[in-house]
This record gives sequence, structure tokens and C-alpha cells, in this order.
Amino acid sequence: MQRRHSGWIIILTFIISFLLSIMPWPLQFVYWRPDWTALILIYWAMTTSQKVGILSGWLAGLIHDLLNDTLLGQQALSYSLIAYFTAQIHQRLRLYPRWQQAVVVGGLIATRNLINLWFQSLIGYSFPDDWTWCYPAITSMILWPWLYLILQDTHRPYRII
Amino acid sequence: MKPLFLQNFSSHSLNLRFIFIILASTSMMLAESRGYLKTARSHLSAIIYPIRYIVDMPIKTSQWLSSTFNTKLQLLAENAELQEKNLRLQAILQKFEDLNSENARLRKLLGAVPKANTRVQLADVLAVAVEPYSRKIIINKGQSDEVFEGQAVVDAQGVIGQVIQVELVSSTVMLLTDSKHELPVQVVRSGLQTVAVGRGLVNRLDLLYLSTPEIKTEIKAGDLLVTSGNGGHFPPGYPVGTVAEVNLDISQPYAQIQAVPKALLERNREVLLIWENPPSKVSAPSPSGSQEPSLPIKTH
Repeated sequence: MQRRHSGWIIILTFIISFLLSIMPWPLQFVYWRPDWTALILIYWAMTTSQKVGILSGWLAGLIHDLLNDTLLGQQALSYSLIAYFTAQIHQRLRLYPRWQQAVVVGGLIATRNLINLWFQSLIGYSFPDDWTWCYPAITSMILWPWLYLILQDTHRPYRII
Repeated sequence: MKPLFLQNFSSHSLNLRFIFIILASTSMMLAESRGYLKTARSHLSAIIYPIRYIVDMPIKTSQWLSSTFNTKLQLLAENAELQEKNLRLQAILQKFEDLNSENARLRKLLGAVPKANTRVQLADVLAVAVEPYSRKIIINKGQSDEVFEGQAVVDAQGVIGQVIQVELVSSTVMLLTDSKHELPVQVVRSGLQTVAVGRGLVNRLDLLYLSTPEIKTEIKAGDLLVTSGNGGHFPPGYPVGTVAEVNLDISQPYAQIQAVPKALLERNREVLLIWENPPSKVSAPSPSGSQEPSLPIKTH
């Protein structure tokens, strides 16, 4: 087991995902921004389930609440939901082919967006009448296989091929 | 080793933890929607300021670089242009000063409360994004600069929005196009009062509660809207936008009227914060005003 550094790697990847999710983004594609933090969270909750779980998801969500000025607890809840489902099925998920994993990832992210919008509509925002809430799920699905390869390399640095 | 024990973690304990987290998140949301947790949030924001700063830094640096390596000719041309603009503005300002003192004198004659003094400070907009379903920006002034909640934010063209969350060294501004933002406005030409509501779209405002009989004469496309000062948050008289289209639909109780904001909402790098100081000494006693009515009041 070569997991001595993975604690730092996990925190670093989460921080990078926060940076990516508040980076300025062209206005036309604002709804297409992939859900970086969810991707990172699903990856770690799947591969190192003993380290990253519901609590990590909750903390990451809390930081998103602060970054996005949403109600404290809103994104925390939706991210811990993702972590919960991933933890439930992580053993099956590991065995899935890459494209099937991507479909699950997309489903989880779309569910998260729906829950978020539902909470937003509770505090007075109108629910969008288009399909924009699906777009992050689509872009995240496309990114998943590549992100998987990159992250796989980060926590197996001493692997001899 | 630990993992051996942790592998035995049954889904039972996972469920328990998840239920606990649902309860914790829900109670936090409820508490915040009732107006608690304000201080907790402003303290917690110290954690995320570095993240925002790192994202903002390369953009600020590239701007600084491009201004540093400007050619001398460009700078001279810009300088000349600015000086010309300054002259023009000063000429307008001379007239304004005159009008201002005349206004103060007339108000004193009438025994009316003098207009409040305003203080203005420039703030930088941090180049960070907020989630796309609301319209908000982050500025680099916070508690340490005496920013307060509900403070009016404007740019050179008009109203931008108001401060909704004050943090230690930054604050969140809700743009007036956010669908939760409502602003009492007035049509300059006719004095008609209404409320401008954001729609969550980039450049659109809705005007509420205008019924059909009055809109025929009192509002039309191209009219200028200014803040009416009714809500209490905004000082009166700041330009908000221009009326874009007026729709007479007799099946609806109110007319559908839309406006376009004057301020460059999403393209601003710098905004102005406004402090409206209530006039302290001149306002209180009215007899002192009637003693020497011809003396012009100095407004600062």
C-alpha cells in the first residue's frame, strides 16, 4: 500500500476543484461549468472510501456554500448526499467500465443540481423552466474518464509499470 | 491497521451518519433563513478569502502587466483624453455647486430638512464567479472599511445593487437584476412611481404594479428611471435604467413593462460604495433656520 501521501493529495485536489469552480467563465457557457468538486468527491469516495466519506462531502459543500453565497448547509447537504450514494455503491462502482461510471456520475450531479434548485426555490428564486440544470452533469460526464486517469496517477506515484 | 476495522463499517452506521448530517444541514439552513448565523458566516469567510484571492490574482496581475508595458504614446494619448474629460466635468460641476448651494438656501427658507451628505469609496470587483442562478458579485471591501448590509452600490452610469453580506475584508453585492432584488423607482419625466424587479437575466428588469390607464401617458419606451428613495436603502435620484418596452395586455391586471439597467452590471472592474450621512447639526432645530434665512448652507 503506497498511500502515505494521499491525505495531502486529496486535500490539494479539493482545493484545486474550489479554484476551478469559481474561476471566471464566459457568460455564454456559464451553465456548462463542470461540477469539479463533485467529480473529485466521487473519485475519492469511490477509491479511498475509508478516508473520504460523508463528512468530507459535507465540509466541501460548506465551503461551496461560503463561495457561492447560498444558505449555509444547502450545498453541504447536496454534496454529502453524493458522498453517501457513492459510499453505498463504491464496490460495485469500482468494477464498472469507465463509461458506465460516467453515467452514474452524471446522474448524481444532476440530482445534486435539482436538490440545490429546489432549496433555492424555497427561499424565493424561481425554478428555471429550461434544462440548464442538466448541463453541468453532461460536461462532468464527458470529463470523468480523463479525470479518472489523472487522479489515478496522483495516488500511485511509485507504481512500476 | 485501521482500514481493517473500518472495512467492517456496516451500512447501518453510514445511514446513521447521513441522517445526522441531514439534520445538521437542515437546522443550519433554517437558522440562517431566520437571520441567525450572520456573524458565523462572516468569520467563516476568512477561510475562503485565500481561494478567492488566488483566483483573482492572475487576472489582476495581467491587468497590471498590460498597464505597465503600455507605450509612452498610448499613455500620452490617454492622458490628453482624460484631461479633456476632466475639464468638461469640472465645467458641469461648477454649475452643480451653484445649484447645490441654491437648493440648500431654498430648502432652509422652506424650513425643510437639508439633503444628506454622501461619502463615496471605490471598491474592486473580485474576478470570481458565483453560482449562475443568482446575480451577485464579490467586492474587496468589508467590515474593516465600514461596509454595512443594505448599502447602495453604484457605478459611473447608475445603480448596481446592494450589499447583502459583509465579510471581514470582502462583501457580497446582489445585482439589481437578481430575481430577489426589488428597488423602488420613479419615472423622471412624469414622477410615476413603481418597483423595479430583477428577472435573473443578464440585462432585464421588470416594472411592477402599473395598471393600464396610467401607463398610456406617463411611461413610454426610452424614459429614464431613477431611485425614488422609498425603500429606505437607496438614496433618491440615482439613475437605474431606461424603459425598453411597454406591453399593453388587457387580459393581465398590470401592464408588462421592461427596463434595461444603466450600469454596466457584469462588465465592471470597479464600483462605488455610498455612505449617506444623515445631516447632523443643521437638521434638528427649525427656529435657527428662520433666523438668518439668506445665509447659504455649506454642504460638504
